[in-house]
Amino acid sequence: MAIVTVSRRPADAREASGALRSRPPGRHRGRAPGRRSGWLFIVPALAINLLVVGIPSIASFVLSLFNWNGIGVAHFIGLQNFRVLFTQDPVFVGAIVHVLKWTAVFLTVPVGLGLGAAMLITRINRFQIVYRTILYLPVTVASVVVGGTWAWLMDPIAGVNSVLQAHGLGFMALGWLTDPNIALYSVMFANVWAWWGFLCILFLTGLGQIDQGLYEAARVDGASPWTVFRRITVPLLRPTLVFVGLLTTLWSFTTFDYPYIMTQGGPAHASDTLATWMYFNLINYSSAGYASAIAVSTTGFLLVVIAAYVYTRLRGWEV
Amino acid sequence: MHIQENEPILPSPDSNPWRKMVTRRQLLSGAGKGALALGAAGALGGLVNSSASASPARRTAAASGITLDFGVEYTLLANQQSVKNIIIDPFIKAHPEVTAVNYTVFNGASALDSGLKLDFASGTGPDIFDENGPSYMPPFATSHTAMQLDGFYAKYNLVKRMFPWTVEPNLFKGHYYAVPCEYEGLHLWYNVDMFKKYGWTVPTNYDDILALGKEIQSKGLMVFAAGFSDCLACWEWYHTWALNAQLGAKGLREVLVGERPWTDPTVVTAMENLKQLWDLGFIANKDASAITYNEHWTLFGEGKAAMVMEGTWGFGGVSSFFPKINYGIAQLPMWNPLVETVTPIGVGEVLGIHATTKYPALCEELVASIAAPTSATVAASLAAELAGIYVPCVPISTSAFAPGSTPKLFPQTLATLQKAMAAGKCGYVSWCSWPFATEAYMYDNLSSMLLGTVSIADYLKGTQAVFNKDKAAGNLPTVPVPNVTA
Repeated sequence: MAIVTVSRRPADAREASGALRSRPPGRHRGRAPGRRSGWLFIVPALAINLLVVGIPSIASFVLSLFNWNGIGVAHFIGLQNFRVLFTQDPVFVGAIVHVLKWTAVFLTVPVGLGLGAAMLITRINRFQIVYRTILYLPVTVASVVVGGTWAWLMDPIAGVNSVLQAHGLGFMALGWLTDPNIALYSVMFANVWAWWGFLCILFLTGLGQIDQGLYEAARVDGASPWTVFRRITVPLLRPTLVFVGLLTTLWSFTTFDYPYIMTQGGPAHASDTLATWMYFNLINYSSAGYASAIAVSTTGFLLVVIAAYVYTRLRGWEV
Repeated sequence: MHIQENEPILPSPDSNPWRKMVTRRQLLSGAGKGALALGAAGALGGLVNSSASASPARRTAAASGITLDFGVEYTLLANQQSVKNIIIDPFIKAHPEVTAVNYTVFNGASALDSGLKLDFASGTGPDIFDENGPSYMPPFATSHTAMQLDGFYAKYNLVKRMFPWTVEPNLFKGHYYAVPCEYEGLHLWYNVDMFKKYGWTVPTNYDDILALGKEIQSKGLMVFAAGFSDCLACWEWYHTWALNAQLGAKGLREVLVGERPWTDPTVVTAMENLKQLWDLGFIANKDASAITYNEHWTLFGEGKAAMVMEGTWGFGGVSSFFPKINYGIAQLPMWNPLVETVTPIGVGEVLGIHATTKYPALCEELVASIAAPTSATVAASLAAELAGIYVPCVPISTSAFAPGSTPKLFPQTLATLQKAMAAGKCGYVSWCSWPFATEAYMYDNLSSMLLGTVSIADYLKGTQAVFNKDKAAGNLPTVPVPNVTA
């Protein structure tokens, strides 16, 4: 007669049923060979990260609760900086609107340009590398150079306006950097000019990984180009598209260089972003605590984006 | 000698040794030597010129003699050389124990203030430092990073020797923490030949400006050149002018000390008049926010703008920007006939001493030699070569300037300012007499008000709110009492 002993311990039960063995290796909670040495390998990087990212981040959060002019004694004021920021600071609210516009434009215009150009270039066999190089060239130029050059071109005295006026096209001479309704888009234009080539290269890489057999099969089946794009290109390019979308959103919320170089956030705060407003509060108002509150708020907004990304991954959507 | 803004630094193309043919072997050998030289220079720099990052206390151990560190905002080599020639070399000669006075150069006004704060907050910072004016000093005073200078003022008899108008704003909560080393006044600069050609007269009141402005525009010219795209704070010149011109010195002082609100009808009128000038396109055709500082000078220098509102610091750029133009300088027009005419005069540069310097006596002596030299020749040389940076706030007679050593009208303009200060017939400049945050709020939002994205009422309401905070925090600067009736 066989004696059957049933263990009441869940772990034992799982082991008996083979549950532990069926787990993916990465989720194994037991001691895996080399686990400790793996940690040892990443300790230097973790330490540096903690030093240059972790501690300053914590310091920024702590500072956001203080009234501090950057030197001397800091006074604890709780959440007052955040209260002022969200209820009494129209420039901050304006900056949020500007980065949302910025994100919307950068998620569409350079992505569309980059994807379109990448799809055209993949069809070219000769001199493809030349096209790639030309498209990528603006990315290699420092933003201060690109921004400065476009600021000159949009200069109301010496820029394209003077050329337009000299040729009887004065009606096209707009206040590129002086009109509050246009300035933000002028700055975006300069940044898009320098940025979309980078996206093009990313999309080229993504397109190169798609099995060409799928396209051939679709062609044989008589699929239209739009159907091929919708049913093959987009789904298989999804990881690249999601990566580009995430990157664009993160960088849009923290954009600083082009608005600062071209307009310093002006005129009339029309092109201020969260980062320029933070910088201005730190440097011109000497409000280190308030500037930290802007930084923490920006991080908060981005955490929402990152959380959405992580959530989609956890839901099993492969991105 | 003039300040050469565009002094060539690079050798001429003909003298460039890289133009000669170089063999691969020579190139590799040169690269190796270059790397060694760079390494050696870096190591040497670490020893000799480490003052930018080392604290005053630590630095002494590294040097055999005494090395003082001097934090300055002027980046032009010509300016640094002038200070070296006029002040530092004689100072070192008189003090054999001092081996060097090193510059820590901060890149402009904003970089100066934030850089100093960063240095001091981290326990470092120069022994002696420039700041942008008395309004910028309270944080250094309250954090005890700037030395209290009451004894220094007494030792060098500065209260009596210097113009009271420049000394008083440096009084913070009853003590001195900085010494004025420059004063400046806002004036109307105009193109004399252009005015002669068209038969124009220099405006003296608001109606004159309106009439003349339309005349100037009818000739296709810009009325006032202005450019603030790379100098956001420079918008302050315009609210400074508007408030002095409309309220007069007496009325403006009442606002600055909190006796009259910023929302007062007189202040509203000042802003309405300023906005009218803007709306008419008189100020750089409404393009000031996208024109650079150098461009605005060029517009005037090339005869494309008839006038420019500029401070006495502008003399530093005369030789570079308008060597050919026959310029004239006049009193800024007053806008309100009921107030007494005053010239806005203030301190745009002060000197402070690091509270933890190991050599306070030497620092004091060096500061005194810049701010209040006993030699009239030294004072005149500083003023002539460093207009806008170091113009000692002590009487300098016109005859002290060597003939041909200054830009046209400089000695006369300085004499006018000295006379006004001695008589107390001065107006106020925002970077000297406004509290720090109020000043930043005003220049930061002036373009919003002028462009109409913020109403005048809201602009002044915001100013009042920031002013209240400044006042509650005890940040109001000392505002000298003018000697005017209205």
